[in-house]
Amino acid sequence: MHSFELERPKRLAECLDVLDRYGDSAFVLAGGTAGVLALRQGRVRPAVVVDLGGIEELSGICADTDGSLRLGAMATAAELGRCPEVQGNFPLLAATARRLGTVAVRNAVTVGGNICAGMPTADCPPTLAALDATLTIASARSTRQATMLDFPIGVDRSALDPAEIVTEIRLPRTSAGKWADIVRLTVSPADYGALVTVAVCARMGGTPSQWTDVRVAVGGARDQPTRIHAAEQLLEQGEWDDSRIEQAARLSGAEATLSDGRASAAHRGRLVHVALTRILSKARQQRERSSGGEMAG
Amino acid sequence: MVQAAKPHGRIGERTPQRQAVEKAQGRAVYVRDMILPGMLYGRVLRSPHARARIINIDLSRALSVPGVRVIVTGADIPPGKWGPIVKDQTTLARGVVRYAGEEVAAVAAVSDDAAHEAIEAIRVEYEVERPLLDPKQALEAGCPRVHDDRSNLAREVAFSRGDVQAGFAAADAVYEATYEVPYQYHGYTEPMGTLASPDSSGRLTLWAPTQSVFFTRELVAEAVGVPVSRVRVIQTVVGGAFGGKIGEENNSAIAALLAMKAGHPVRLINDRPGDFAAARKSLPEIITLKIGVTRDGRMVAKQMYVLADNGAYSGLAPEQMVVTAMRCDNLYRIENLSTRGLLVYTNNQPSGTFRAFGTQQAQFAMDSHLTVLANMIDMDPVELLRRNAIRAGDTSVHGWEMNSCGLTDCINTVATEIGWDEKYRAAPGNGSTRRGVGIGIGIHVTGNRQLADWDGATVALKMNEDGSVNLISGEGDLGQGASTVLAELAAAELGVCFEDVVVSQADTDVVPFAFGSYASRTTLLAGNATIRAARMVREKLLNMAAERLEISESDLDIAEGWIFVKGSATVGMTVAEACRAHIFRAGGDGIYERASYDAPTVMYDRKTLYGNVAPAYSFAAQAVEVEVDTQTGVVTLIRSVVADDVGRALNPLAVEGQICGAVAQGVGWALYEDMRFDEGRLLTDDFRSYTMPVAEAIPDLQTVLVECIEPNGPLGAKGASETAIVPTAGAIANAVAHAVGVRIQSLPITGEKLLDAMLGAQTANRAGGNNA
Repeated sequence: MHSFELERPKRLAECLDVLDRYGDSAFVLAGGTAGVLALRQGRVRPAVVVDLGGIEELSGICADTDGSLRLGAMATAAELGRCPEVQGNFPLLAATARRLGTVAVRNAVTVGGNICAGMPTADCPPTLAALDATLTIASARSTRQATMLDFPIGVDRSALDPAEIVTEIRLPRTSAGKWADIVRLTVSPADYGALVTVAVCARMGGTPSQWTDVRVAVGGARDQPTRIHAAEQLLEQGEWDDSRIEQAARLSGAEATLSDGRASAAHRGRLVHVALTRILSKARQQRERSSGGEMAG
Repeated sequence: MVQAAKPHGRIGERTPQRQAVEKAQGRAVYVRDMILPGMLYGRVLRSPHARARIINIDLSRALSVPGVRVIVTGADIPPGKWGPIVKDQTTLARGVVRYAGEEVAAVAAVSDDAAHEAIEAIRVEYEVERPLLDPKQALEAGCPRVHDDRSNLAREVAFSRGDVQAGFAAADAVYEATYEVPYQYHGYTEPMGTLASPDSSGRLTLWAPTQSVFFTRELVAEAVGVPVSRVRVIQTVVGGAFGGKIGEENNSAIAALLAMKAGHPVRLINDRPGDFAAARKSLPEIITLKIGVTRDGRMVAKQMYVLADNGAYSGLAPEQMVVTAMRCDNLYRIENLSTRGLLVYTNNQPSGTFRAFGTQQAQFAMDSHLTVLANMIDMDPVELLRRNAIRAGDTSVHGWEMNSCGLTDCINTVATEIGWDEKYRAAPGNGSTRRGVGIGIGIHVTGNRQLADWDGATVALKMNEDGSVNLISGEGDLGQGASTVLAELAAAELGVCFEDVVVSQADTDVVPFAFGSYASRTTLLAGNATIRAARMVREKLLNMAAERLEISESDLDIAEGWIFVKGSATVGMTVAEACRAHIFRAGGDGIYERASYDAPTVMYDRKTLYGNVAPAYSFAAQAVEVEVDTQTGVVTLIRSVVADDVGRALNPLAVEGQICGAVAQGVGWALYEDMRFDEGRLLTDDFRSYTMPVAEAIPDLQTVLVECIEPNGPLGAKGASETAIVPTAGAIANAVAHAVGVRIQSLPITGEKLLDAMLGAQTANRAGGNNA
């Protein structure tokens, strides 16, 4: 690895000043699972590496009085996976965090890093999109909000200016307590990276055929996570019977355009189709069994 | 057979490898850990193009980078070319680059960072040409040549035995298909690296994790243009090799060149992407196979055409193509066959030596093919293998003499262990996951005369005054446990404690000439030499003790470092005392004995390939059970049983480790490792994109040792490190076909490929009105 200056700010304000000063020549390191590899392979050769690990303000997970949940950008997957608040109110995120990578990766990877590393198959973005998450993005000069959907994660690029970082992610109260499920498919058991991820959450209506606030988010099908609005509408219109499930899966699979060496767009589309079918069929079965009662996500 | 006088000690015990603990604790010193005073750090600039002319190399900016000491390019290398078989390569590209990743320039600087910066500051002007990437196209008339001075055909073999046409005429079922196998990267933990240090006279010492210190010495001497006496090579701890560190690639030569020019030690470690590009990966091949069998399951004719992609430089690929063309035939009692094999130059990355040396490529095709044929004649594939399996006492169609052969036992054992009869007949089911079973078999040489028409080993034993033994050998240890097994043999034969045998580092200045560790040769060849040398030492010890104790030698025995009068364990003297006595009596001449063993084999005929090239042959069979997710196409290996005829297992722990490692590597090749290129450029050059099997991707691997005592082996042992990779891919492909009724003939069997094939088969069935 090449030599660089290492900055380890203790305060967010200090960190933003550092980034403002160095601009393009700084490289932000969160958990390091993607960043250290990029440094080691010489894909990035910054003069300055800014390590966010020492900034207390970026860590932690806490529930706000309004029922929303604030995730510090430096919260790790392991922390998310074992946090009672996350498990209780946002089981989709807990499930995502528990399946991501390996034990060692989960102990290091952060939710902020995961969405900023420029990987179209990253695990957290589709889940955050399904949960209507809001990102807070700060620089020394301004602070702005963005949703996961207007934050294109792209391929090896993100929507951030060089002086900006994501500081926190907020999950709204309106997404809490929803039924949710996620299916993550990989190329093979030897590949820890997801190929296609489908995350779904919805609120159960009064009758078994009723679902509202359905969110279907897909990762790995395009350069960025995608909500499949047509499938969502369809799934809000009536019972999840075989034909509705098939139609929703087909609409979702058709969205796949990303084609690379790991899989063609056509195969990704098939996998999205399979993943959504599995989620919806299981939901229907669970609901039939519990006949309208409470259902675990 | 070199019979040991006293097979005791650690023989047959599960003794952990000698370096196991220090490796696990991080104390083992690899070349990357070595630092010499004044040492410089090397880096290599590689070509981004698969085929280009080098118009100009501008070093001016690179030379002005602070800390840079020397930069070498093709202009700095001696004239001529080198190579283990064909002299077709240079240490750095001279005027032309022939593959993406070829070394164009190298830098030595006071820090790795400065070296890196200098590499990035070198400006190379290329005239890019259209690369020749398709081996079929490379054979077409008028096709541009990869090397101006030689044809694109790097090697060709054509041979036949018996009467293949009559064989096909007698067959009741004939099947023909084409198989395609890709490169496989060795994936060792430690990338190749070298520390080269010139002394005040300019003589070079190199430390490297090489498989053969003498091959490396020869290649370095040739590459930098000095006699071998000016080069000394010392083997460091090896972090895995699997064929990749046998001395086909340029790392050591470049380090030597830099060190000579700088007049300072230079350490050059391949970075991982560089190692991916430069390592001589396993030979990619297209194999067309046609086999005929009779209704009662006799294989009566075989015709095979092999087209192998040599890549830009030859290395040992010509011999591997030969292995693909003929080795698998030696598994069967077949009489009629006809084979043609072509090895073709392309602008792809050079292929070369990999565990099993070309055997597994053809065996994937054979194992796939025989299961299809068994189905065609309504015979259980296991039964078909049994009926054709070669047996002890047979001489194969290529003249290989099977002194010991447990192939039939291996086949029966894996079939029983996996529950074959029940599982093979079970209905495939109609759920979204389906299970299937498959079988494959394998053979490997123990030693091989093929490379040099000579295949022996020499071992010297030096007794110390404290009764300990230095075992001096150049065969080296790749991590497979060679030094542990040699120490076990020496201790057992001498009657000293295992802990008292110190195995030397392989050092060309000190050890007798040796070929090194490849072809699963070390245990048998160096093991036999060890036993011979130990017997000579033992005689001297007994002689010395007999004189001191005034008793006949025949009344004495040695155990655990104690020379004693038989029947009276208290009367005697220690081995240490005898060693000291020998030194004083002989005026300082301690006990130092050296012995050689040359395998009783013959060189094959270069045209017909006929001849018994190895002193022993190992056999294996493997049965696997897989589960296929029919919606995603993903194949999961549920169970694997390997039965391996390794002769006597001198150290079952080491043997099982080698077998499991070979299977894991075979599973990676069959299912997980997908090497992808764009215009000859490797896209998957890290372990994130080149997904080797992680622990979770491999089930518990079951191993059964079938110990058929080998007359030529030390205490009956044979090679054990390579055979088990041979049956794996075919067994998996057969199990997948059994599970879902679709056969994949190109590796790896990815989910996408399998799903495409399954959907294609469905469409075809619908179109044909055939409801499967």
